[in-house]
Amino acid sequence: MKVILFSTLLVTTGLQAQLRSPGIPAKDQKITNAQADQIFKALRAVNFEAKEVVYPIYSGRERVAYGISIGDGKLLTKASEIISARALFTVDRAKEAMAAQILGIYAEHDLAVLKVPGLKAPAAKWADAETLNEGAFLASVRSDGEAQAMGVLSVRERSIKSTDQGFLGVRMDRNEAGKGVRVENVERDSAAAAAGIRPGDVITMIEGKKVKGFYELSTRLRRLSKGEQPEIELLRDNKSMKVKPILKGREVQENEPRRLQRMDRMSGSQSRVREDFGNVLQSDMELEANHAGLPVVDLEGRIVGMVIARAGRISTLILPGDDIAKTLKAEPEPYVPAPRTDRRPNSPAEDRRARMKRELEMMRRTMEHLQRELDRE
Amino acid sequence: MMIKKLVPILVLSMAALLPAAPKVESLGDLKKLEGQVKKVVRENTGATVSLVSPNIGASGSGVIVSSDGLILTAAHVVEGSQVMTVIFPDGRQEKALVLGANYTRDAAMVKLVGDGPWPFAEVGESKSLEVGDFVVAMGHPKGYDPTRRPPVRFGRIMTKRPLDFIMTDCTVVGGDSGGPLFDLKGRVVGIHSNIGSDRQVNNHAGLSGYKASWENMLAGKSWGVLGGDRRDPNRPVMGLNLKKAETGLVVDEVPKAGPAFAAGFQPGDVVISIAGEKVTEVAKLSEIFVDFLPGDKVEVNFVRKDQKLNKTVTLARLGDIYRNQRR
Repeated sequence: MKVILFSTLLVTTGLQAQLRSPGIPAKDQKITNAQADQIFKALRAVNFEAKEVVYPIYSGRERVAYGISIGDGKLLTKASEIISARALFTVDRAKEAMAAQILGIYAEHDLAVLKVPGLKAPAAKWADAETLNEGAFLASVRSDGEAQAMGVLSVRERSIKSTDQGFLGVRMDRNEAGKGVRVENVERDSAAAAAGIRPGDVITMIEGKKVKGFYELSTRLRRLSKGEQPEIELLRDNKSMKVKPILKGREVQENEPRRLQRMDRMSGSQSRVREDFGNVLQSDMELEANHAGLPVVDLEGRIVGMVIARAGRISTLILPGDDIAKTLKAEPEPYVPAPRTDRRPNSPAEDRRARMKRELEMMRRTMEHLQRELDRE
Repeated sequence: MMIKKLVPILVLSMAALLPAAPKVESLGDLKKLEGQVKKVVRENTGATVSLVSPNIGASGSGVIVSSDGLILTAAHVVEGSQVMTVIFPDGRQEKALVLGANYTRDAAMVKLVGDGPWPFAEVGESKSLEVGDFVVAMGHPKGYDPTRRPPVRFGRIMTKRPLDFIMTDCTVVGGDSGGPLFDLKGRVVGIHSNIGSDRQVNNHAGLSGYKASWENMLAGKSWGVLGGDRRDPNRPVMGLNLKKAETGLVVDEVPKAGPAFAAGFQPGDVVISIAGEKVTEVAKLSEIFVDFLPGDKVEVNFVRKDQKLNKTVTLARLGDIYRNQRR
């Protein structure tokens, strides 16, 4: 399958090249495989600290995630990957299985703390990730001291929580306007409506800076936070006027076009929770959903973060080490399993659907497992 | 006998001397490589732009390659548009006009309207790339996002493909189309084109292909078909039906409506080279013609009755020859 990389924002163009997907010739694959082996060997020099603190987390026969030791027999892991899994356990360095219980969660970061009675492991030393620049080399490290994946820092620390971004509540004309951006529509109860912005107004400046078009204005707004009050200058009936709307937060995540979702889906597994993090690093390291919880090191061997989500073909999200250290200073919220009794009884059809869905999911996981085994050969 | 034995040994030792995939054997090597990657990113982020078609509403990427604002992108990004909105990593927006495109190469050019000077990246070559060479990919995946600069991806050349396409394990996705692939010196060596479901299959149109189509694209010409199509009626042809024989590519038929007939070609002629390129396979012809348009002239060297000759052929549209034949 071959997919053209066009990102269709509004409409589908239906463009797709019809060449067959090519394989990589064996002689070329041999060269790149040998090269990868070299790189991973060289990486062992930076993995020594991280390998001591990482533990696999199993539910039954399946590894669902990894956890990082935070001392006192506790492991930090990704909450949404383990919360509904039964009979959690880890395996210590003597290959002994040790049961793990959920002690509490930090819901905002999708983190969970597991208690593993009897586990003796040093606590991870978290390093600052703010100093990392785009292109910095990163590795996610397993307990055997090997890198699971190597990649670069694709995007520096940022919030991907859309509800934090400033939202004015207008629909803007996307055409090249030149002098400013024409307001086409004003949403009810929006920041714009409250400030008296009307359809037909042409926004020319925001915070003293000229805006030529839709993208400049929306960039400025999204880089502001909700609650901020930017001064907006606009033209109405050829008269210039100023307004100061109190920005609201973006309410709904814009849905991605299906074509883009498909490109991510076909490129390996994705974490169920992979959006709306308040502060994350983005890397191109190629992982699967059950690699969440792996420690991430830089070339100095510092633990600069923890893998928190596989978020699509090009993206692995990492919680910065300093943020984790800060989070751990507060006690986690106690974990209360969701009550199951007050659920409305299912109809036989719904039961059947649910069972089929579960079985499909199990088959998918089995296939992924087999694929991984095959890849390892 | 001695010589015959020596030859393969010589060839082998020669091969051992050829540059192999770059080696990374120590932490020191890794740190050096990291430094090079960071430098490429630092120097070229500003030239990596997002391109949005205002009338279609779809977005891709592009890279500025001259201070007066010439942008290289993918042909499928500009298809159906005359004007593009260019969004810089800092959020500034500018207007650009679509120049030309070679769809078979998925190559296109766009030009910023303003005078500049604009930030730009150096242009390199893709022909000299080897399997295993390190590369850096940038672009605006899933469209322009004001919360980030163009995400950086790092990888290697996995294989080289026909028509100067290169495959890397730099993962790219929708919206990256038209974005730049850099070598470690920060030169643009490829433009993101398409992907397969395997994460190692990321295809980029090589810069050597862009260079071969450069003047025609700059002059505003658009030709070819995405993915290539031998039935494209606009494809330039000589009107020579060739078949492979022991002596070389032998002329089988010369359709009367075609330019080769007008130039005086006859069945039995053996074609040696076209436009300076030696041809021994019929498939090679479509590769040679990928940078030509109907109306362009090509010189053909051939042998007729042990005599070396050459003739100039003015290329015609495939559709014109067949239509005339049917009459």
